[in-house]
Amino acid sequence: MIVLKSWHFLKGYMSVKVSGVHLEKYINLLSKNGISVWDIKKINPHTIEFKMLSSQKKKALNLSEKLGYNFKVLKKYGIDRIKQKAKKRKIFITGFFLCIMTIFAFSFFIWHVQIYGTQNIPNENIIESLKSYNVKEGRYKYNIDTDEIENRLLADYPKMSYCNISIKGSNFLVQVVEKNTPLKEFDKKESISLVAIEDTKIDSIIAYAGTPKVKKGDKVKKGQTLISGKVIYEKLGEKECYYVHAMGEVLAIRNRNFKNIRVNPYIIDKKDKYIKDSVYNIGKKAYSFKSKEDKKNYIPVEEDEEELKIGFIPTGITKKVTKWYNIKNKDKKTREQIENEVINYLNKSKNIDKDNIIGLYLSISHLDDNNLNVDVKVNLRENIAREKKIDKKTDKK
Amino acid sequence: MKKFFNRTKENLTKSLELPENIILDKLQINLTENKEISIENHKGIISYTDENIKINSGCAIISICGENLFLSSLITEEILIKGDIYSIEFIV
Repeated sequence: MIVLKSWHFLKGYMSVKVSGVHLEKYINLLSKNGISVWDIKKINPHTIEFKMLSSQKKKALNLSEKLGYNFKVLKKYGIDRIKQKAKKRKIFITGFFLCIMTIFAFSFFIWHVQIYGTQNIPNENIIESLKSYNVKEGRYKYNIDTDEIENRLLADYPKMSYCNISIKGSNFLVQVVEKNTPLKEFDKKESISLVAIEDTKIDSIIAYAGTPKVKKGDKVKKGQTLISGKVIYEKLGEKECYYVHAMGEVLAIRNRNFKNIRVNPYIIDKKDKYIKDSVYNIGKKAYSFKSKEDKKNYIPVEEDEEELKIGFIPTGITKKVTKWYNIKNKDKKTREQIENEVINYLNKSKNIDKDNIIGLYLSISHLDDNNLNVDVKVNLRENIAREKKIDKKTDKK
Repeated sequence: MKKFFNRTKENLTKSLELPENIILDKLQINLTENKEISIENHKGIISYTDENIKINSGCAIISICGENLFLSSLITEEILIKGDIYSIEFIV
């Protein structure tokens, strides 16, 4: 039945009203002339309504004219009806088709690059690399060789152990798995020793290759050899030596200072009401929309800059929003919360791993605009070894 | 000549045990509960109202009585009637 109805819809059909005497004769004539009719309803003894294919209208009309019946089309259905409507709404239909065609055409291109699974490798670097391979927003997607790009990424990023690229719709998805301990490539032919980068006290030393010259607890001076690339051994009672590329990890506690870190002292609930200032960057020009309200008791929270998109198509316009929250009746952050915020800042901005921080000493002072100024002294467990080439000629002397 | 041809066709169908309704275009009625009736190889409609539909089958007049009867579809060989069917009568 659905097939038949679909067929009728595609062919186009109409509802017809016929009035006259002895309508059974008319119905029989219709069927004998090969005109298929359905849903025949008798409205009154002299009127019937039925449905028929639009293509057979001419035949049925001729018959009714011959027999003197009154033939009237009530409504058209199916493709015919759509065609009839389309004639009246040309601009709408043209716009609709243009819209569909535009979406269809735009679906041939990449409009979004997404990277998953990165921990140490910054996404921006991968995006830049992809750009250098000519993979960027707006690129035609069907001639991209994903295998080649995977190989190039793996070659360019030694820290990457696995890379899978897939294109879903207009999204370019890069799935990355990083190596747990990024391996450094060594030229084993080179003779290298590891030396200290500053005066400090050794916390731990692990030598993978070479001879360790210091031990835990030793105080070392800048430039002092920590792991020597010269390996001495005894052969037939005589001392002989050979040179290697020294490898190892020499950790020491280092003090580092960071000044003028701005911290918002209030606990902000993002559901709270706020005043919004927006800055739109179109090319090199910036257009700012600032509210005129007095912001004396407000504190600004800047959000990350984002690019505006129409659907999935980038516009090239960037938007930066600053939300101003009222600080009245707001709770202040505890010292622990401020410490956590500083640690996050150091991790993001200074690339300091949270696990390497041994001690954190904050010096907090107030700024005029309700923000806190934090100076930090951090005790870090860091590798203090630096490679130094061995000059074999002077070394033998 | 036509009668002779028809008789030969009938005899041949019977002797070869072929399905008569297909070969000889004989009347075939299918009834689905009392809601739907389809009549194949009919010769036309005689009268049509909501309560009674009379159809010429060639050998007899089929009178269908019921309520809310209507012709669901009508093509040259088949007629489909829907509604509450109470009785089907053959008037020879």
